[in-house]
Amino acid sequence: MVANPLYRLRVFPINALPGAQLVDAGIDRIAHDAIVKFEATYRYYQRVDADLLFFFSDIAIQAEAMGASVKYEHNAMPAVCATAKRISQYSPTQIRRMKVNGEVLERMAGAFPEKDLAALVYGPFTVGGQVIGEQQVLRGLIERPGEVNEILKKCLKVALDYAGLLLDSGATVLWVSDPLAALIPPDLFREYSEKCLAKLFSTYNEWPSILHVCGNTDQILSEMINTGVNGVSLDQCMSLLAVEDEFPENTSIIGNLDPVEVMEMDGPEDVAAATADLAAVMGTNRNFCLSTGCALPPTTPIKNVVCFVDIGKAALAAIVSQRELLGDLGTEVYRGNCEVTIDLTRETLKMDIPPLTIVESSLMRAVRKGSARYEAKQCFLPEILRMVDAFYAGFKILKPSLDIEQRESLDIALGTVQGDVHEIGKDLVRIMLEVYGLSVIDLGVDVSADQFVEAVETYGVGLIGLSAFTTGSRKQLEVIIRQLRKGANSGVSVLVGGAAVNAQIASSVGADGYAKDALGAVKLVQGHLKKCGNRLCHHD
Amino acid sequence: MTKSIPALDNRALNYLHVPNDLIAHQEISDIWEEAVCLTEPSQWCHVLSKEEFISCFYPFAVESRSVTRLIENSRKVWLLAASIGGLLEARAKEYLSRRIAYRGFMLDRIGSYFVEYQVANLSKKIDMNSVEQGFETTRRFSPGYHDFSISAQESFLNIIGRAMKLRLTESCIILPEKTVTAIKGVLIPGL
Repeated sequence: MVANPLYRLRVFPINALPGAQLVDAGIDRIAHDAIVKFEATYRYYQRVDADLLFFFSDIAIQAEAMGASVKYEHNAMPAVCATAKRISQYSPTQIRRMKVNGEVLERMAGAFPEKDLAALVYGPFTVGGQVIGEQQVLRGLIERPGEVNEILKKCLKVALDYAGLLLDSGATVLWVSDPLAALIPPDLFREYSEKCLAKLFSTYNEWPSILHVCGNTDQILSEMINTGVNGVSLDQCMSLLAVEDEFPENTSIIGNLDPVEVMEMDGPEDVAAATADLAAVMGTNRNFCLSTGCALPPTTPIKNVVCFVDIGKAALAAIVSQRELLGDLGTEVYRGNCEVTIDLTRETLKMDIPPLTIVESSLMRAVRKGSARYEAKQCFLPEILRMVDAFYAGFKILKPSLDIEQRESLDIALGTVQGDVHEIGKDLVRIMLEVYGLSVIDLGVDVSADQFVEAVETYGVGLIGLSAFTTGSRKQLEVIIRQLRKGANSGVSVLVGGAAVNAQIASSVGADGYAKDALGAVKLVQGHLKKCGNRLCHHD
Repeated sequence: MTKSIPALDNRALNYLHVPNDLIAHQEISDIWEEAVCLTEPSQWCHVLSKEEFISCFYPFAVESRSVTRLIENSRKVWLLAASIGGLLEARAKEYLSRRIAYRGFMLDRIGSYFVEYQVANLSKKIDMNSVEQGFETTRRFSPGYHDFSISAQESFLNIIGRAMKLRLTESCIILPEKTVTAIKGVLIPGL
């Protein structure tokens, strides 16, 4: 087995842009001044104990070197504002901003001798789009492939030279970001982007390498891996669990906490929870690096970044010593093998692994992975249900050791509507919700509007799930929803599902959401609870 | 009497979406066996003239454009019913209430497969008999589909009487749930 050259990297956020908050200068100045830029990154990494350090890079630098016009602002990152009138090619040592980045890296290598430093360059395909226009490049792939190839050759030359400058300046890892490549189908990616990227990685194969492509890269993931890169960094929209099996043993899967919704917008508590969750779920994968799904915006609160790195390191450290056992247990749950799950759960308990870690990193991980694959249409429901059975087989053993807080409040009340006695679908929704830790009261079948209203008043639940399987019972949805929203319960939220319903019907009967199956229901309920908790929601 | 039960073949495995591994295949054989033991197949069919059908199924037959179109060139209408009894669905629900999700769900799916098999066989028999007598038949069509009201189940049960152990809920769902009823027109030759 080939060793993974990125094994040292456990936790890092992408780029160092929040460092801008730590110097008394605008981004326009940071982009041009080696001393100010070094100061920003130095102060940033004094606070943020990341395993891979970046030099405050911007995406416009290579396109600018080739003649594109770039706009600089005090509070915004440099951006290409006009394509190149004439494509020029200079040696990177002649480009002042490239020299600045080289200088910053040299200083960082001196200041953080123990740390890995990223040589962040942009993929030729992305730079080509900036130089002649994104639409021109994308159309050109079909209409003028020869012309596009010529431009990509020039972009590749600049990327190779720039990467060489950064690596010579002390960088230890080659990082290539190629966001535009996410917009092309696999065959064109292979023909245009993959070839250039493979050339970059093979030219500098003495250095470990990482490829990042923003957005949904499901379709081109195997091509990204085939570039010969040592690690692939995935956008926050990707499910790491759904794609982890596509990664060879020696290739790192890197990602993917949301850089905006979580890192920039949430507070430290939510960042800590999201980080711990991602680390618990992915930490059993020996090739996992905990990172962000893309570069953190300059305005990301530094305390959030510190929290991400510190919590991430602690969470991974808690798993790493028992990674094999937790991984094996997770695999058996994933296979739906109840008997082996029971044996391995007992074994993990004997190893003094905290029961909650076993639940999160093995049992729950397997079900979440199954759910992610189901969502990606890679498996069918029976496979998930076998995992659920194995989950409960293990959970039953762990339950006495778990310090489960007795919750007073319920998350949701479920029932099949009056006139309908179909139970199986509703039961599956209940089981899946419970597996995901949600607290459910099941009102049964043939439940009248009055009974739903009574449940709201008795249990104080703000979320109701209605199941309807026959076309006749569909009419009941409207009746029940109308009655539920009367008077003091007007803020009750109602989610609907079942064979008789679709999104259009859900909307026409005034429901707040529709799920087409049990796993969709989990997402819907989780999303709703995140928004409103189990309180009554205000309807706009 | 031997039960008329389908084989656990590739078609069944595909229908059930059985995970493709050895343990899953062993498990499904076991669940299938359990389903066979819990199945009490029963079938019923009866033929009415078109006029009798319209009268017995008044107003549901005339109110349904789908039914009207289906039997417009028919002079007779077959009524079909097939059930596998209530034991299997009760067991499936019991498993699910005990959070034995896979077994409960698969038992339910197998039940649906069995009852569909029963009604398809019955329909095929009617087709073959009709062909022997020089008639063709329409496809089968069940209450609850398109505009054929689910309330038509009441008409079905009135005619079936005690020939099958079925009952109706207030909202016209036939119990046991794993029961299928359908109509099928016998076409007038040459039309």
